Amino acid sequence: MASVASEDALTKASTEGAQDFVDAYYTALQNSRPTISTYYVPKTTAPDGTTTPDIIWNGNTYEDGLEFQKMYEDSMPTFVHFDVQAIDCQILNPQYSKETTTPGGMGVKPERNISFLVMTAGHMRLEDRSEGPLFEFSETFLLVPNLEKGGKGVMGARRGWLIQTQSFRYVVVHDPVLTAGQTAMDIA
Amino acid sequence: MRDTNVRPTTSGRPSPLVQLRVTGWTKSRLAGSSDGGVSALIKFLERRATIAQNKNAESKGTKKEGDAVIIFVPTDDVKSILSANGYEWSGVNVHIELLTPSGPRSENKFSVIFREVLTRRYIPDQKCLMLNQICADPQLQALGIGATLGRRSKLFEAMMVVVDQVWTSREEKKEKIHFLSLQSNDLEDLAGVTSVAQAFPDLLNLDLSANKLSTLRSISRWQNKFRHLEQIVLTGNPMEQNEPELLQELLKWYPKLYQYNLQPVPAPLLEAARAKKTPPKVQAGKFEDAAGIAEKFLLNFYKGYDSDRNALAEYYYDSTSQFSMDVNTHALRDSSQKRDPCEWEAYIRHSRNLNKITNITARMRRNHKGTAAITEMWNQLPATRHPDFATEPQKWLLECRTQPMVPDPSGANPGGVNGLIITVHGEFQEVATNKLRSFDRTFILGPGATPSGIRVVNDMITIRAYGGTKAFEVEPAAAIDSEAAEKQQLIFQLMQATGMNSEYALLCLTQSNFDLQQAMVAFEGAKANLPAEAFVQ
Repeated sequence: MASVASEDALTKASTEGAQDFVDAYYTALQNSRPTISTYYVPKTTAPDGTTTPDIIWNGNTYEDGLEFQKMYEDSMPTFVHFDVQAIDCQILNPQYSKETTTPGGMGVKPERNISFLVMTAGHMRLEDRSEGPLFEFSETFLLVPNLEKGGKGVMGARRGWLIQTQSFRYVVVHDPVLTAGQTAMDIA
Repeated sequence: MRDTNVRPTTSGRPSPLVQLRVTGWTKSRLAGSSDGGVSALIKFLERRATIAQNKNAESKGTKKEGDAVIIFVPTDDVKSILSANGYEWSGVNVHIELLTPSGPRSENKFSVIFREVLTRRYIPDQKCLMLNQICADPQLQALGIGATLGRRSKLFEAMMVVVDQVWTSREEKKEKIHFLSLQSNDLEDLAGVTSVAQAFPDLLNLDLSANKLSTLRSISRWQNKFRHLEQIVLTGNPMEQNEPELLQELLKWYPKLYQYNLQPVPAPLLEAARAKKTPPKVQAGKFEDAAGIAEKFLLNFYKGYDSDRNALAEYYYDSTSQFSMDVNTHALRDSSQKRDPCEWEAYIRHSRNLNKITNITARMRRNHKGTAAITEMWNQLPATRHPDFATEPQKWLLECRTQPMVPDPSGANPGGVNGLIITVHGEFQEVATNKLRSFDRTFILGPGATPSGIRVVNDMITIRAYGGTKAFEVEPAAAIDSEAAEKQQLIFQLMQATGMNSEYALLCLTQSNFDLQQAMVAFEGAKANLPAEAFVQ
């Protein structure tokens, strides 16, 4: 049995993991779209029929990271800008994998053997930096350790955490008529 | 002018420290903290640099000098820290520059020559700056620079500093320099000329021909620069052969590009690239809750949260449940709402926004674990009134999905069990102030030995200014035909101009043959006799 890390170590790993993940992931959505799929767990169906990853974007569902990446590449405007204003996280499972070694043959440190929730909130701007449609968004991720880390060849092998569950929502739509006048002030 | 300190390390010697001067941070959102935000700023830069270079970056000391803070960093980390130049941090854009201990005399000598070189290579009537074949420039050769690759990168960096002395503002550069040539500079990538993009953000025409650029990757660091670029020349680079989709990709990078290698971009390519992309339509929330567990939970939860938080916690939470709250003070606010002074006072000292709360102890303290701690926290938060699910469903957006591998406290399922992940977007009113707030809340539910048999494993909430409910509406699926869209636009304009509601605006436009001017005249004439119900309430 893998052991459980101290509260300090868990907090450090989850909160710093959340910030690093948020930095990298939203940057990828903006200008590294071919890498988007590498942020997701591989598509898997459990014996009870539950499939992962589970991805919802404004009520639209996507089968896996590749399908979500394709949506971003094909349908999202070239200019997409995120301004993440709030981040929080909580650990769901403090002992994610029961194995001391993983299929990749690498041991996972106890404080990284966790699954955790990340919640973000902020602005999302489309099409144009100053005049494009503007939304407030809220997003929830459930991240799990990348157990294949250390495997070779795949870009995703470098990532510490992968998305298992994701739910994105616009929560405020900025009025297009008011946008021009108000947003500069709101964003400043 | 750049000297001793910035030298790549050879052998195993510890790399010497380089000084970077960071400015532009004094008016950040953290300006009020005890150190003016300096420590948070340094942490931010270290984190950015760590990401940029994929290995740990750490500063070795700091020194405050007025509005600037000088940080000492190992040579190895300089590049990645400098890459954060211009980044937004805590509401401001920070500026980072290399500080070199150069003597004033040598600096003057170089500045004078660079100024001469720049002036000689500038063609005013063509608004053109020719920095081609820079290493062959006799005046620069006489100085003995430009010979090696490393030297050349410093040459461009230094020259851009002088550029800013010759053309002193962004406006002036925009006005006077439309065209820049970097032709025949043996460039294999843009590492040596990266400062050029910062110096000329508004460039219209860029010539990179006759270099050694082999793939798109070689120029990818300029992917998001030059937002106004209209023309680019890449002839005489290996990438022409290596990248069959080169032009398509460039059209994605530069939204205004229309001329490529001195030829107009073929119309079909331009159209394909400029076709407006639209994100998937907003759909209703996905609420998959076959057993009705989530629905019952939400009904009980919000009733309990508004009336008896202690009992609610006892019913659904146990010793391992977690609750944390964060405030997003920058969220978009509905135009009906005023920003009050100190309006977040009741919340902000409990907020666990990781962007702001960087201390590990504070991060631990603001995550509340166990029924007792959660109840204590809840009782410090203002009393609330949430809208009724049944009568005001439009004020809620609810989603619920199966969440695998939720820990099972009974220990019967060591791999965890299926639970539920619920996301709630909604609003509440503070009982004491009547102020409306919006919130986003995520719960993970699993089985537990609570009176309800359900255990809240995680409970996270973001509280923000009231933002309305428009975002929760489903976008119409079918595209509106253009005539209808035009009419709708007219209705909207008339509503904006007159304050009438959509029904009366439509009526007025119908009577005026959908002529906005006519409709406005009609409105002015009838205004006095219109009932109150004709206007947006």
